Amino acid sequence: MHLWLQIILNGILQGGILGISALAFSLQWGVMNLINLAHGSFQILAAYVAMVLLQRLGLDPFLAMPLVFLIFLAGGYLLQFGIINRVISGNLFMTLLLTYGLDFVLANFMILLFTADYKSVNTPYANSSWHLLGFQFPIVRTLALIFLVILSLLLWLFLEYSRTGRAIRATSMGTEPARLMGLKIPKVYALTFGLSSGLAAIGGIFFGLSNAFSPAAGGPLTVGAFVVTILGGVGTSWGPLVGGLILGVLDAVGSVILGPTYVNIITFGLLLIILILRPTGVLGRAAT
Amino acid sequence: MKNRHLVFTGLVLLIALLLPLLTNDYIIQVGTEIAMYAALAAGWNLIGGITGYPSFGNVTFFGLGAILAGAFSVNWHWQYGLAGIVAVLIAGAFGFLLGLPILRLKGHYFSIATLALAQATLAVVTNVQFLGGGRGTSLPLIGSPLIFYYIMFGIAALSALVTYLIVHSQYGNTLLAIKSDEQAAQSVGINTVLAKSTAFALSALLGAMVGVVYAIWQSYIDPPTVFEPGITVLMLVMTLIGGAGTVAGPILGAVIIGLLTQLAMAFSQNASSLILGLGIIVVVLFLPQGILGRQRSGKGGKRKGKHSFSLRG
Repeated sequence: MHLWLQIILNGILQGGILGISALAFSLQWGVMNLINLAHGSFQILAAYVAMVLLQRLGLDPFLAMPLVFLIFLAGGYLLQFGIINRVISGNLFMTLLLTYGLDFVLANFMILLFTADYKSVNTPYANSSWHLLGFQFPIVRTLALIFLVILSLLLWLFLEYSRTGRAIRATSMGTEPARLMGLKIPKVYALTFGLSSGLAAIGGIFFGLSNAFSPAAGGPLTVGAFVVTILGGVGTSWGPLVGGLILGVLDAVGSVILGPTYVNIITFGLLLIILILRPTGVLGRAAT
Repeated sequence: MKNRHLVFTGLVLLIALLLPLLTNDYIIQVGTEIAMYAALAAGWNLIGGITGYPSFGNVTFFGLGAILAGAFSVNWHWQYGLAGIVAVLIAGAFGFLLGLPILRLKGHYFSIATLALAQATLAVVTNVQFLGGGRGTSLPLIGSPLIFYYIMFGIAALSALVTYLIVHSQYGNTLLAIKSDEQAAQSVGINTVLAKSTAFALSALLGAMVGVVYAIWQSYIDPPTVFEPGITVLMLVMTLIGGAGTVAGPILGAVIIGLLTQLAMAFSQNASSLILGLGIIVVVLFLPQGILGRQRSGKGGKRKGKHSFSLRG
């Protein structure tokens, strides 16, 4: 019994990392109807950046986090403003294909820079745990879950109450009315993508702290974010948290019952079943 | 107009048939690869280009063809031809049956569902020893490189022929109607579900056929290689570059990308992937209609200012 509770706890804590990743993915999807297939590679890139900052400058990943967030915010803003905005008003498929191309470029760029070998962000606390009531709380994953709750709250407050956040929400409801209200859509989109990229980078640092990673790890991360987003509902502030917890627990329990090689079957099978039975997501609004 | 097409087709056929007489093993190898991708791209074009359902998981059928044919012939000692035919039929049926629910999805949801389909199939295959999960399957070395060149070339020609026949048939019109306005097509009594699933199944049959030949050509296959998502990307990019929905587009795209890849390979494997990625971005930004697609719409003067895909999300 105690063992099973620990397994479920592990799943819940894994949900933190999954959720942060989905927070970024869901924001892009919800506001711009953009599926970013390079999402996972963004995260892996952030993990590499954290690794380099730690190795070269001795900068702790948690201290580096604000800096990496800002770098990715700026990079994402420019990418959306310069490239993605050119096709986003066209058809969905072209945007999807564009981000697939970006993913290819990023992944191979990372192989050239860092080789295809597995790396990790080696901190003294990466593999240690807190102990409470006889249960193990791995430090990084526990912090990821706490961060997810805080980030979800901050994002919700930002979207609900700030001027910029309201502009983003208005744009997500329809670009034409938003334009008529005097909003500069390209800038709102660029800001949304920048913000998502920054959030993705935070998720990537957590991923790098708790897992060994290689440039090829981006694809599974993207699909994971997709599944979590679908589970939680597209474009909702709390969906990523809900979806992350569900997938985290399912993966943890499933890999114990069926064996670790079956985790992918659970993730992808679940995705297929949900898409077929409820294409609009479990808690989501109607598809646009 | 018709004559020009005929002369062009004849010329391509002649060059392709005579190519091996003039050149060395390397060229034959490249030629076989190009023919293989031309066939795969043409298969993708049936569902992605003509029907307007951009699949991100067509590698599923290529992989199934290769894995099943290998498993039947090695584990059950079937003759490879028989193993191949059964594998192709199973993959076709798989495509049809999965098409029924998946093709109800629109836009992003369809694309991601097919992506998940490929990954889920890979995950299942990896866990089944019979299918070579974990260690791969070794097949006996048979035939000469030249034979495989001609077989792949034959499948590519068959794919083009199938595409041509579909485009110029009532069924082709049905698919076109689905692509431009599915609801309208439904409302005039077209069984869209059946039409779409049939297109998906045809696409699966062609993909599996290539997979079957690929397996015996390579004589060693393992699941991650034959379910590599990059293979789907290649089919899709080649079709888009050449012109989605056209007969010659996928073949032209396969030749262009095939030659470019060989040039880039001279530097490194990574460089070629990097160039492929940049190529995708360039195509999306500057050539969204493809080479042949643009010409056609220019002449017809009916370009709606949108891309050749009409997806309703």
